[in-house]
Amino acid sequence: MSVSALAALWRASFLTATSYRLRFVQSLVGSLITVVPVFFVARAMQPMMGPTIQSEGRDFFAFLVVGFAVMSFVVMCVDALPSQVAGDINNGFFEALLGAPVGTATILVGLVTYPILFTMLRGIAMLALAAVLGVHFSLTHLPEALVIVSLLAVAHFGVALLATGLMIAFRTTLSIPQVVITASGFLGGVYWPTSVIPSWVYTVSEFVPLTYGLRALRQAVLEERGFGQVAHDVLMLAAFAGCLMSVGVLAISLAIAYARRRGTLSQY
Amino acid sequence: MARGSSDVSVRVRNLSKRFQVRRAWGEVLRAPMAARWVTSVDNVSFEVRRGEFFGLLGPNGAGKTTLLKMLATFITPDDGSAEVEGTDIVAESRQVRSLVVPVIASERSLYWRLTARANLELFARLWNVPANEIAARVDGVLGVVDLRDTAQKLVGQFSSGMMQRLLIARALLAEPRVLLLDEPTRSLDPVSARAFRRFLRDELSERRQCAVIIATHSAEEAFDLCDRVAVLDRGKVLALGAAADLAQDLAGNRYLVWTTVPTHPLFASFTAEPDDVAESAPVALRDLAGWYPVTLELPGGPAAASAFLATLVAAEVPVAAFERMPVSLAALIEKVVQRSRERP
Repeated sequence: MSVSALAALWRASFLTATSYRLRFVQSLVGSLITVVPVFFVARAMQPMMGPTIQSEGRDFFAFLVVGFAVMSFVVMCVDALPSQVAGDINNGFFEALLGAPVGTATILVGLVTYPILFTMLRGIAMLALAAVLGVHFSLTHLPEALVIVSLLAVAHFGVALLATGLMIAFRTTLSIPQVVITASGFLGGVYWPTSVIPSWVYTVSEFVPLTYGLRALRQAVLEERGFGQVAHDVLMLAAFAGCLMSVGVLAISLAIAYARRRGTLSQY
Repeated sequence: MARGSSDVSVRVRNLSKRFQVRRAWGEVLRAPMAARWVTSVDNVSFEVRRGEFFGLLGPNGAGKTTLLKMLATFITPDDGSAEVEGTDIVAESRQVRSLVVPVIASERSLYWRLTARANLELFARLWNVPANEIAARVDGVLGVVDLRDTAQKLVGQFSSGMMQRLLIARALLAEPRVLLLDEPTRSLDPVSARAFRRFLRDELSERRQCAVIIATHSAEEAFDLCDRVAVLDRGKVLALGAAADLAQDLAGNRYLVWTTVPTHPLFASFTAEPDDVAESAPVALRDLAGWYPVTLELPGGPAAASAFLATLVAAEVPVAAFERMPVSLAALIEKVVQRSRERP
């Protein structure tokens, strides 16, 4: 993967985003403003939710703010690439990129590096504000947290590659990103712990990578638990990441070959 | 105008591509598994030498763009092979992309919220231009397309023609061995178009020995710029050679005579339907009262024409001009296509 090309694509996206000044400021400030109502709602619900999140930080506000930050990151990992490629196919930019002598992986990663990093930055800002409002985040297990976030990124980028492959080959994602986002939001433990959902739905939630990632992350940063104590969730997440990334890479390779055969790669 | 160099830059051998035809819903429901195909490129072979200008001519749908996209590695051929500087376009497509640069015509393929310079810097990095050369190379190509003064302007504020020039500049950044152009001067004003052609000829072709393959409908490009052209129709190469030679071959036996007695009996048996070219004949004669053009069909080649002119002179028919009628690019394509379709 060409680092120079990645940096160039990141820079171009950054300059484009910051050229819309009001939108850029609003997207930064907006996520911070969200934290304030969440703080009051969480405080109000603490007596009811507290007992259900004993292994995930006990504090419902901390539970929610970690869930929101990770969820926005996952949404970006899943949806940014297919949306970007769909737009770029339509305007011919994708063809221009594919004409360059850099690998497809560089192009695909380069297209979403900026939005994903920006979302991470917003997530960190949300967590920082939460810390100001009294949440204690442990940095002792930062390496564990970074590994978990990386695995979440890999797993969901695999889904994004699959959806992008469908977009390149058939001009539709079959709503895969939306299905994954909805399932992650409702069943992945973003707003409530998976332990409180009905048993049959709980079974479904075991097929949602975010379930493992979020639980492990909360335990690492809110409960100060190390790899030994979150090993099961991390391994499950790693298995999902491996499988989904393999499927995604296969899908994108087949899709590009298919589009080249059909002559639709540069059709816009 | 053919060059002396025999070094082949692009070698295309029996290249073919067919596409599945999109069927109506009713047809799909009646026969879901059936498929109809259309051949876009049919067994095409040619070679382009380093520094050569090679034109692709033909009516719409002839297969010119498909051929260019196959060479740019955007479309995989069904049969045959093509090599660029000895590199196979299918097996080594990434290496080919560092040698071949297509000019993408879509204006939206630029970052509109970035300046022209920032756009070029991005693509310079994608084309692996060394970091210490980027600024000079960007300046160079901006100068070529006459956009240096507007380099810091946002592309979204550019006119259509300026964007077209920027797209061309972007392609030149990579210093390609082969440049693929699909009607490149379509959106350029005549002055820019001429400057661009001059650049292609002087800088790319002659100095850098870059092969240029150009799909065009422009007579200027076909006759003046291209060393050789291929006329395509329905995916097949119908004629290959210097555009001027093809035009000469196809000019046929049509002659234009300017005379004061267009109704003279000697003309009667040879008079042909006049076409548009007659109107473009000598301006001086058109403005001169009493002189009229007569279009003749004189079978027998130059010897017969010469004999007929002698007969006119002997009969004291006033003749101010007697010339074989040139063939326009449109007529050339039409004639080549017609000739091919008439063959059994």
